[in-house]
Amino acid sequence: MFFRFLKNDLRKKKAMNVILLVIVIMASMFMASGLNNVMTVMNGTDHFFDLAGLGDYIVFSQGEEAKDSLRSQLDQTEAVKGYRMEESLLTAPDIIRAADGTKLETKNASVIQSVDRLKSGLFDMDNRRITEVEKGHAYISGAFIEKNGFQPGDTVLFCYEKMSFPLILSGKMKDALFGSDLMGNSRIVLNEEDYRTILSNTSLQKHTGQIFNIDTDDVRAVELALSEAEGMVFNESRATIRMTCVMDLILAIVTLILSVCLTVVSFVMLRFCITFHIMEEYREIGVMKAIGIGSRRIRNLYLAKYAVLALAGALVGFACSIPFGKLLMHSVSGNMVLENDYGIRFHAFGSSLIVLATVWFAWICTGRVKKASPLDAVRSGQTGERFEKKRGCRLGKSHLGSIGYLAVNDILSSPRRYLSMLITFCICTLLVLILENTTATMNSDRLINTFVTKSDLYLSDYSTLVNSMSASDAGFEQQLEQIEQKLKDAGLEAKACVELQYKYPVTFKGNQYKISFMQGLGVDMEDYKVSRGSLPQQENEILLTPQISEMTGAKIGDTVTVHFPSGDMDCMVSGYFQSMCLLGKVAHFHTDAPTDPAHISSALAFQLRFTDHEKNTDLEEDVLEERKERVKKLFGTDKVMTAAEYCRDCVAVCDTLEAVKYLLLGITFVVIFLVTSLMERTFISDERAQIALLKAMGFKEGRIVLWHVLRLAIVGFAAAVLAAALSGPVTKLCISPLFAMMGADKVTFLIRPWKIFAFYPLCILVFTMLAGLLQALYTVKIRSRDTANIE
Amino acid sequence: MALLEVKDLCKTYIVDKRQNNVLRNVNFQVEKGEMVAVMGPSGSGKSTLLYTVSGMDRATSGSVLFAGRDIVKMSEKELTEMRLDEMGFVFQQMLMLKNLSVMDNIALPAIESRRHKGTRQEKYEEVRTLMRKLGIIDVAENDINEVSGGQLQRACICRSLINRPEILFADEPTGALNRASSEEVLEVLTKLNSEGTTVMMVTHDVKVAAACSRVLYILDGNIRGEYVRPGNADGTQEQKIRSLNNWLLELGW
Repeated sequence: MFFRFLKNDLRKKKAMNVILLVIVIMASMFMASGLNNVMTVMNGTDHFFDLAGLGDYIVFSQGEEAKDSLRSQLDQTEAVKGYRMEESLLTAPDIIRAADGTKLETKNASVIQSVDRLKSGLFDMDNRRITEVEKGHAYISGAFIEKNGFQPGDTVLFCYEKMSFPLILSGKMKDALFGSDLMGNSRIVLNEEDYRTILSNTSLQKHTGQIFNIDTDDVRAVELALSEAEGMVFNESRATIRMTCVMDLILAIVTLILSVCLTVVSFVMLRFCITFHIMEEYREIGVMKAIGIGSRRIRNLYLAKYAVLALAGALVGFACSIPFGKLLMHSVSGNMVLENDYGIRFHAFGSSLIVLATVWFAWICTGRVKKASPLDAVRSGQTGERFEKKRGCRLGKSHLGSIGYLAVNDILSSPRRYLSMLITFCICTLLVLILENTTATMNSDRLINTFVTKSDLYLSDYSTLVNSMSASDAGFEQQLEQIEQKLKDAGLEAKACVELQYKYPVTFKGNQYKISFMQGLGVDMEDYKVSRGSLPQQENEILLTPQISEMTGAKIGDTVTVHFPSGDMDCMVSGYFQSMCLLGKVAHFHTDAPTDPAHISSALAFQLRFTDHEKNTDLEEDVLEERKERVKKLFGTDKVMTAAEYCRDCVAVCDTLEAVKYLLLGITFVVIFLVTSLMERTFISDERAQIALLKAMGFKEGRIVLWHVLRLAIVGFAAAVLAAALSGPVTKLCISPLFAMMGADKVTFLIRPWKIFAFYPLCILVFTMLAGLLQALYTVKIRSRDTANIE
Repeated sequence: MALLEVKDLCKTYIVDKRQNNVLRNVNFQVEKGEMVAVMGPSGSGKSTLLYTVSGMDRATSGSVLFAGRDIVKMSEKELTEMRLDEMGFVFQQMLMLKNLSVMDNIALPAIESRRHKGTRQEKYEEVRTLMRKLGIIDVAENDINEVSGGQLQRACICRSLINRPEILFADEPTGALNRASSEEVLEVLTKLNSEGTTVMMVTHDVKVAAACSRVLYILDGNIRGEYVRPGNADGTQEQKIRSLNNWLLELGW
């Protein structure tokens, strides 16, 4: 009997069963890929770092002496469990040029290594470990390839002094240490023979260096042991390197949020569909009860049916979830090998959950079968004595036309029916709006004070900076003067300034730390912003970020000792500031603090502030754009940016985030299309009699289509409005912690009203209406004559 | 001129590539103010006839002149407008929109109609008058599942009359009702007809048909006989029924 019932049911109620099957497939696909992605992202960086063999503490050093000194220091340190040393060349970033010899877009120094001397795991884009490189070929990590528009197979030029030879790009590689944009370096891996050719250049030999991957359980002890070591160019813990992957992690977390949302959507849809389905079956249940079939038997029949549908759907969903999950992860895993150790087991688990959920929902929904009398069941669960009053509005009191009234009344009469749709659309729209707010903020100058002070233009030509650095601090001052003079000669009165970074040992309460400090050259102290406390008034006052305060324990009013080469200085913490430089692990000196030019570790962009307008006012956009072009020509570089462009350059993740936003918008449209189509078909199937009746009464087909589309449009509009209203607080709630991870605790998000309240809601609305219209056209097939066939 | 003139009406369905001639050259007329019943055994084509002459279904051939216009040649749009403004239809299943109150269900065609002039308040006043006349004003604000079958069918009649149609079609209007409710509905239809409304209905109920001025008997898609209530038929209801019954028996009913 079970088999015959199933066979007949599946054959006769094809439309509704197909709708349920599609919902189960969607749910299974979203759930399986979502669960797998959650697991992948949660352990993402650690899994990748382990694969790459990254140590717990990483040191770059330069020079043979530094190598020996560090090795002996490490050998003597008890906390060191072991270390791996890799030889490398630390060169200027412009050592790799375009085939015609022109300079390419690069940020920091390049690290050149031979594939045969690698101790780290480096991976190609298919996540295969790189073990060999052909002669004349090179793999490059970081954003170098994308930023310069190269493709695998393109040729670049290795140029150093008179040495020059072509290199064919084998492709981008995934690099745990240098892969992130925040690190800013490019690792170039060559064939051993090519590497030796480079080493044969005696002047390059002085650039040889080492990368130490140190394994330890006590990072702090290793840090202290190496605090006095000479020749260290870079030393950071694995935890800090992990933070440099924060941008990739942000994208991964966005994917995670998307996966969770899609899972919620699928559950909402599944619940709606099953409830609706069983309501449809009530009459049949009543007939079965009336002829004496037991409640348990009836219930089992339906459970068996849903179990079969759930199994079939989950199986297809499981198969679809693997490519779908990969598609989602692919958009975020450009720099990381994002995998987990469970393979497809999580996909299978997710799909199994959907089978269980479907049967569980069916179990709950069929629960009423037991209590209901045959008559109740025939009357679709109504007892006939206590009919519930519909809560719709009255036509007489409404100012709407008949179709508008019917649409509004339907929603008000059966709000639960439309609630699933509202929740689904709202979640999807909200995701897009959150990303829109995030990218808009990242693309604006809202974050500028978390990097440098606000100026009109930023000149980030690395070669100019490097030249200045080699000429020591006086070089920077001269450079600023030269820039100002050059601008003056061109008829542009401007003040130039720059933010420099230093690294000094600091002692607080007996503990010593090596802390990066920033100090402005040519900057007025009042241009800085503090989040708490006050700006340093004297040379012995400093600002800390909350991250540094937490690391050292120093609070506002405390005194820390900064060990300058010229002597120790007790500095009072006058306030906190937020900085996205070094992910917030930075402090700030007063401009008069006795820094040593020899300890400059890095410099940010030259800032130009035109003096023909008030300091706190912005130049008009077209004037600024015109000046930017003039400055570009004047200095012969394209790296002249406005404050917003400089922020975008620093945050580096904007483009990818924009891409994810559009991917998400696409997924939202697909989900909206599917949900709208499925629900509209369900409604049509349920309202067949009403549609036929309206046609018999003389309602035109277009009016009936309009009635159906209008209902969906109202729900779509309500969802869009709700999402727009929630987007501000939800963005703050979800994205603020991500910015906090990057060092900015308090971010005022930029909300572009026309996009949030007009563009995206309109897109969602139009798409909902379009999907609704396509399905509502099916009502044309229902004829007024069909009233004769209605039970 | 007859209000409804049916000439050589044919309706053919193709089922599994097999031709099923449901109506075969049907000819009849309905004069204004008449109350005509169509009777016949199940599957004889009476409902198809009603749906075809009311423009809800398309004829395969022939013509159906309604107030001089051939509805067979009308576009779907014209037919729809005609159904809204000039025809009323009462279904056996008492179909109503489930999310609307009884009164709103009745008022809906009036609100939709452009020909039905007046403000919304005026239209609602007409609805109330009609409901009062048919004795269902007490359930005006009720939901459709809060009223009895007889009340619901009277509400359906109200809805079909709200745009003051030229003709009222009814497909077994008492078919789903108990005896008391059937009598209520019949009384309403008779009263409406006596006030000038043309009524054409399909029925199995001899008692209902006996209330009509004319009965068409249909068998295998053909009108096999026409019973006209005798002019002196002012006798009792029982006599009318007996007379019609005899006629039907002659035709093999």
